[in-house]
Amino acid sequence: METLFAVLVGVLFAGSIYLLLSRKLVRILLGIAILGNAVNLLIFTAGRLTRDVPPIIPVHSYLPVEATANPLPQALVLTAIVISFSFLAFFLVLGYRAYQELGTDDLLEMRVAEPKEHNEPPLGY
Amino acid sequence: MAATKTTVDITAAMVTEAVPLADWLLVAPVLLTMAGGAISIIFRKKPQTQPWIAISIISLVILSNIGLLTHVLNNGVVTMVMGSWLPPFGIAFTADPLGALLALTASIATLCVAVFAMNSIAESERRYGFYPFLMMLLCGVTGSFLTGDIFNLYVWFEVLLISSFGMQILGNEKVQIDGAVKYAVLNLIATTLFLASTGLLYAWSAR
Repeated sequence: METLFAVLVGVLFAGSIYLLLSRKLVRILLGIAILGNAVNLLIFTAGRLTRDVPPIIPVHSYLPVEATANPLPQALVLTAIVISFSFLAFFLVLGYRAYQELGTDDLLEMRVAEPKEHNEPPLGY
Repeated sequence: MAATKTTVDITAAMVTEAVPLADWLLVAPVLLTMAGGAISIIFRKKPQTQPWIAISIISLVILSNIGLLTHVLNNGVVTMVMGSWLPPFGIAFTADPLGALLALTASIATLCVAVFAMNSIAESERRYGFYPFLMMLLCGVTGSFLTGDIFNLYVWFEVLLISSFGMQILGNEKVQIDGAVKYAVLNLIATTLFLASTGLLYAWSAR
């Protein structure tokens, strides 16, 4: 099961990096969405995938008797899902506003902040 | 079927004695800046009073940071856990001399920015919420200097990043939106990789 999920995480990472390398803003947004989910799935898988044993520690012992799924990475993933979702929401609005204001979704044509005729920084002093 | 009452020894998982008063200095900067951000949002319709709220609260933060620094220099590294739960369950705030000094430096720099922004940023632009974002930025910076938990460090990074995004696009000018798109993409990728490495670090340390 873990091997399958590791392969899936790899596929998600590869897809997100392919999308992030694109010039179009919408594809970059999709890449960011997939990247966040890939990382969440990675942490989730790293915390062991079993649903046979509940993660309950018996009285008078310090550790669970059998191997259980670790609940702490699941709690971390819950926080990370909230953060990455809110960032994605902010970024969708930002991308839409950028398309409205700048009239393009091509990152090579977004040159307002770094104009082409701007002097190159010096290579040495 | 009588319920058998089991006695559980909670001293292994919780701090049972009361927290010394001086240790509250550890969370005071974060609480003050968060409250300051909320208060200055309440006063968003009064741009003349916002700077004075910000300046007074940041001065309080500087005072508490000075107190924290002297406390750390006198008594060594201070740790405080949230809700009295010890680290495997609770989130720890830790201050060593370097962290306290960096938090103090950040708050002094923010005070200078707050004073300078009184004249530099016009009142009409202040309505977009410069001072709340400034306070939340300081909150994130202080939190990341004073936290003792690496996942919590990620959360504080996100706090300071989202307020810096907000601060960057105040006023909706073309240059700002253009710059913010690139800044936001790069920071999102970087923090996502940071999150992945945090998860893998946990998996590695829990072998």
